Amino acid sequence: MRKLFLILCVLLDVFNSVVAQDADPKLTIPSSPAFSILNFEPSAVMRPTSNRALASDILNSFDKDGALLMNLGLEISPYWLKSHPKLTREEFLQPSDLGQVVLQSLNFSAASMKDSATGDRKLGAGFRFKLINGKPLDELYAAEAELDQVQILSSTIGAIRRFALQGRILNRKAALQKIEAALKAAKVKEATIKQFMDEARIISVNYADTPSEVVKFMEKLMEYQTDTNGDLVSRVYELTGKRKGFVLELAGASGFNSSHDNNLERAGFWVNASNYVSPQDLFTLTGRYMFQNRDSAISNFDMGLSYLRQTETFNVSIEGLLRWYRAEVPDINQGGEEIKVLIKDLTYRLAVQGSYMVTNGISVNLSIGKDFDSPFASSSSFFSILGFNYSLFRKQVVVPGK
Amino acid sequence: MATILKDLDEVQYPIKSVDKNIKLSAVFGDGQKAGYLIFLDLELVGTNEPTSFGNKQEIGNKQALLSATLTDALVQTNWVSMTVFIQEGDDEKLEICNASDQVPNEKDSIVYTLPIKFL
Repeated sequence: MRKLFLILCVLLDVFNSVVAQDADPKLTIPSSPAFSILNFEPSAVMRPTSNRALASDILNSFDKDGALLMNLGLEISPYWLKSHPKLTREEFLQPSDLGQVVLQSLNFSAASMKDSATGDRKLGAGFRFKLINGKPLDELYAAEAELDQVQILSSTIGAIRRFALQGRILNRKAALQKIEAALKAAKVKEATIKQFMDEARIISVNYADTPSEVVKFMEKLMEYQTDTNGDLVSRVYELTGKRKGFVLELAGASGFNSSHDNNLERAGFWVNASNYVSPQDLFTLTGRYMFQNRDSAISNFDMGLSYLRQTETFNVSIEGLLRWYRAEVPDINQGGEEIKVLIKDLTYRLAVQGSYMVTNGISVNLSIGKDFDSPFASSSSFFSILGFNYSLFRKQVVVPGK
Repeated sequence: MATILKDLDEVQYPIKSVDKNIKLSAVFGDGQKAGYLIFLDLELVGTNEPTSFGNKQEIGNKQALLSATLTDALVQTNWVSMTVFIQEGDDEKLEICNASDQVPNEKDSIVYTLPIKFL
């Protein structure tokens, strides 16, 4: 361990000999464009999931004098504010038309912040949506097939509980027989039935033979069933959000200074086309336009391509970006008149980034490359950053029965 | 992660036709993952698909029970919903129940049980 530490110190010393700069302008659309345009992560982000919660969040965003509170963030997905009883799982995973893809992915964000340096109040607003959203992973369908069996078990327990509530099942033996018969009729795997029935018989000894005790017994079985299958539900939940194939996403945002007549200070527009050629290999083509109007007016247009390889233990990404920039910088000429100097140029960024998981919870990250040249600085634009991630609190996996 | 048990009120369905086959089905919304079982009296007669029971003479005065498990598998919403239909022969489907809930936490499940009494 000491040897490793010394090696890392030497590496850090070498890397410090070049100028470290921002190594993280990733070729992805910001998850909350409004926060990104203000360069600010709000201390509190409201994410209402119903119209009632939205109304409540908006009311709570103002103080007693009706002034908007600062350092707040809001993210809304309008489509998901109410229930959609006709949106089947199949339609959600593979929408049949473009409108549905847009509706399901449309997200608005807003943020308020107080600039700690100038005291100015700033507001940001943004949106993002997808036009094409790839396809679900094959792993999702495999995990869902497993969840089918779990849901049959849960539905069976629910049914037997209801029969007991109706007084139609009077004792534990009848309950267990009905469960086993139903699971066999539903063609649940023999091994799954055996494992479940063995556990059910163990749990049953804690209950008596009355309908109300059978109800309690079924509720305990449901708890066991929920605890046992938590990892599978989590897997389906995570895989549901992952896509393969071609994804086309758009986003935009603008930032205003409400202390100066709501002046438009920054605006941005992003287009991302990404393609998972395999579950581990992602290519992303990005176009983005950024405009900033403060002391100087600067506009950038970036176009770039990145490749990302993700495995269980390491991630590697390579990215290249071209930037056309145009800056209008206030100056004073020899005659003492205020003028604006126009600077236009083309610059580029090339970067390689990697992370390696040493053990569960500890990873080493390295970024190296050349950043964009700035119209305002002439220093070296090469950078290298070495870092560590360490998770202090890790989820402990408990294996039932061990 | 939890499972909520929700006992829906019994639906009493007067069968209109004499000889048409009665079919029960369920549709689950909000893009969520769901599965269901259909019992006639205490016997399982259908799993995750529309189920035919027989005609009025065969199922009159019997009780069916639909038991469904809906799992929140979407980061976008915690809504889950179920709509249950009865169809007599080739007649238009009749909606006999719609249930919709927001589960308290991500990845929670809800188990709906719906008794249907055929008259």
